[in-house]
Amino acid sequence: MNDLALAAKTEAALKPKISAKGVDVYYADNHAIKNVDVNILDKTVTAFIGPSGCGKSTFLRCLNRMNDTIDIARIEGEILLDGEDIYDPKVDPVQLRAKVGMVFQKPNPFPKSIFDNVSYGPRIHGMARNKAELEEIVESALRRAALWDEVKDRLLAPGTGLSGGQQQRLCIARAVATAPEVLLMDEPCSALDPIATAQIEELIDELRQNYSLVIVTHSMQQAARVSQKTAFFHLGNLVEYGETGHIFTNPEDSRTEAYITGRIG
Amino acid sequence: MNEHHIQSAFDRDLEDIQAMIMKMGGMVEAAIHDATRSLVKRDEELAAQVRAADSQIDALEEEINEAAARLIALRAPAASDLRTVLTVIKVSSNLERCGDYAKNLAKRTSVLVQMNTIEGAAKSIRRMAREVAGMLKDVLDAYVQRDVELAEDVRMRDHEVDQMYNALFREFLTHMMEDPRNITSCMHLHFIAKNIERTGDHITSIAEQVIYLVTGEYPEESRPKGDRTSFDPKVGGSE
Amino acid sequence: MTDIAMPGAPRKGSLLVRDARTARRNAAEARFRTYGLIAVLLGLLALVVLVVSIIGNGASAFRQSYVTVPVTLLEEKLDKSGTRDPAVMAKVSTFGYAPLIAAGVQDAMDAAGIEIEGLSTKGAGGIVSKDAPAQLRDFVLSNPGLLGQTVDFTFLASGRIDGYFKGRVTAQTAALDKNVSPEQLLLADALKEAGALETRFNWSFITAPDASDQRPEAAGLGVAILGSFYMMLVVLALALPIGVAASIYLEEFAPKNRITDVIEVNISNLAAVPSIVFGILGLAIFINFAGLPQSAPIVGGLVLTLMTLPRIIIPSRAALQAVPPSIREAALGVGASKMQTVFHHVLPLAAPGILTGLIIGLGQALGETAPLLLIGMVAFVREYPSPPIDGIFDPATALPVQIFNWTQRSDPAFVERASGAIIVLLIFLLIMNLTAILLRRRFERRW
Repeated sequence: MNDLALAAKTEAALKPKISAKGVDVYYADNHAIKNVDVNILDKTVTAFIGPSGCGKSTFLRCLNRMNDTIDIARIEGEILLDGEDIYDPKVDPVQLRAKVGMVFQKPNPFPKSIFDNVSYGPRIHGMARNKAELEEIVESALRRAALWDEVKDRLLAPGTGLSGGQQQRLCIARAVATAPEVLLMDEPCSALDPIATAQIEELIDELRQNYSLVIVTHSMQQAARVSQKTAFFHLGNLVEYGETGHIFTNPEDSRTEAYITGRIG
Repeated sequence: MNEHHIQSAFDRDLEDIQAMIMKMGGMVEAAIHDATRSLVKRDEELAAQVRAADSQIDALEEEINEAAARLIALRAPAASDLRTVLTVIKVSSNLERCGDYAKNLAKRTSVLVQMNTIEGAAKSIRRMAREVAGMLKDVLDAYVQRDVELAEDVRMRDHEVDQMYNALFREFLTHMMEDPRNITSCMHLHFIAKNIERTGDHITSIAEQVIYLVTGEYPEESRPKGDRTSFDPKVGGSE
Repeated sequence: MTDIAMPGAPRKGSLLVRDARTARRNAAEARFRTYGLIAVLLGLLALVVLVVSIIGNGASAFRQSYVTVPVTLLEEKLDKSGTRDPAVMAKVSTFGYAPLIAAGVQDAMDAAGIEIEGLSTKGAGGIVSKDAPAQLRDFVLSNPGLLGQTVDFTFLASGRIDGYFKGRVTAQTAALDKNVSPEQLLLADALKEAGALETRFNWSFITAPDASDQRPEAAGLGVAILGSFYMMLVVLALALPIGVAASIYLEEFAPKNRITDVIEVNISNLAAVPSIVFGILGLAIFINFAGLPQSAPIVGGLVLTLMTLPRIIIPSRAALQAVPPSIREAALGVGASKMQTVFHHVLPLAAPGILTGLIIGLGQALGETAPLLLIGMVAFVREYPSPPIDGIFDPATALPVQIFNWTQRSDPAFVERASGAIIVLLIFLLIMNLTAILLRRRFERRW
């Protein structure tokens, strides 16, 4: 590693893309997230791992306020995106979600054409002035999602007719089309076969050039493969957060060690 | 390795780790070469350089092991990928030993410089070292090209090194019996020869790793053993 | 209790031998299947009996006997002044026309050489429907130029004669019946032989308005069908937007709290309220309080809307619920607002379900009788309502009410009419349900 890269890295470490401070989440009386502090870096893949019900998905959904749609969820603490509090009353979650895109566990394309799926976001956000611009956005989003070559001849075919892996890439393209800065992925490969999973992981690695990615995964191997930073959640606590290689070869916390070696579920 | 992994980062990691092996191999080759030259030329300065360079080899070995551990932890390699990583670990340890022998040779050179020269011994040792360095070069080529035949060839050539060592062993015995003042330098020279012979053994081991890497099986133990000294009843068990 | 298989102990015995327990279990399953099959067959049998009896009774309502009579339009009877002034001619009532028809029948008999003992000319005229003079009068008043000529008319045969050809009336019953005589039956036979009397498909059953008790052969469903149609228009116009809006609000926007819980429970309760209660409500509110006209489709439509609303809201909510949450998340995830999410993604997916619920709700409303009785739609209405929208304020009846009405009349010919009307109603319901099924098939998407 040369000095320049080191310097760039240090600077990036100083200026996190998302910075959570003392975040607590309650579902009615259930304390789901307990005082979590974490800094998520730009142009980095950050993986959230942990046993089921440890709060990793909940915390992920706090980052674009998807928890707002759940009546009983309550969040305390502060989450800053580029230094701005996303839970400020002045922030419209709709605007936030255009900046912080999300890809879900099960591929969930709209039951519309491939083109309509990708163009929906840009259309409702008024990102294109005319049809040509819209087509351009759709093509670039599909290219980014490594799907263009597979679907360019059938953009008007229904998105639900694609294979599972293609559908998930379509969902990624749809998220990318709104030009977000952060992409949240909630177990994006759990419904996919190993080859499709590998393709998505490769895609995630490429997307890292332009976005800050946060991925929740049940598969420790997946976290190991795709991420540069890993956060281990357990019972609502952020137990350990650090360099992925470090976490997987020499974790600091005994609970992390127990989890990644398969000693606690 | 015709096909690429879907995850290109995996390919990069595998390539990186093997590139480190090649770099290490090159350093060890140079160390053997330089150490031998320092012995022949009685060049104390060069010997000192070789000794200093060994710490770099050791550091590289550590780096390779760390990278291999990381690769296993993060990528869960299987089949040929797993063999690649396993052989990388073993080969790096073999190379590290070879580096140590070269360093030892350089160390003894510094001592030998102070003593009488033994006629022809340095040249014999240089011949032997050349042979070993050639084997190292070939085995590294075999490793890069996944060439089983070349690896098998290297493995067989160890026999010649063993025979050279046997010849030297008798030569040193003769020198020592002729004149007891030669004993110290002959002992040193004998250790050098022995170390070069051991280097050959490690290279053979690397060749076996190459065969395992490609075929998934270790070659059967049918290699001709040239070092008979340990079986000579007159000499007794040396090792 | 010695051979209890301890957990963990390997199971013994060959797979090829069925043990007693398995045999009992299989027997129980076979018995249950038989019960189920019997239940289904009983249901089918009931359906078949119902359909057969209705069709058996009602199919003949679609065919009717007609008599072709050469009527000489005598000028001295119909236009004594000779002025052809419609106002003057209109003074001649249907009683003035009846003898002409009787004479026409007599002429037809003479032409065919039919002679029946003991049958007067008036008696011969009795085989033609009592509706015929009115039909003739209407024709003459609109075509005064044909006065003095002899024109061939096709009149409905009287209900008894028609019944004779349908097997309802025999010579024995005719002897006891003051409305028909055995001689008239003989005449009818003879005329049929001569080709002057025939039985054919009867469009007027569907298009004509209701007729009085004495003229079952002329009674039709026209006003009832129009009335039902107008009511359905009202129900559609009100229940669709209100029902869909309510279900979308409750399902997608309403906070989940005690108030919405109460509303939800009450919607379900409303669906279970007996329909006659809605009739009382309609009578009290729409007619007595709001002063809307009685017997009008608007009131019927309003009452049926009230009754149908919960039945539309419940399936609509179910359809909205059935849209997978992943679609909502997907839309919210790309930054769509709540309303965009609902209208761009959720509603289109729920539309087939909502439409199906709507059509089934409309079908139920179409078949509903009780509330309509209370708001006066059971009245005898001979005038067609005017075209919409004015028509929804005109008096009309409805199909199920017409059926109810006819079953209460004394003339047995109305039994046939009522069954025929049931067939018409069933056909409408069948069409609506088929539409619902087709919509569901056509638009239902998989995700």
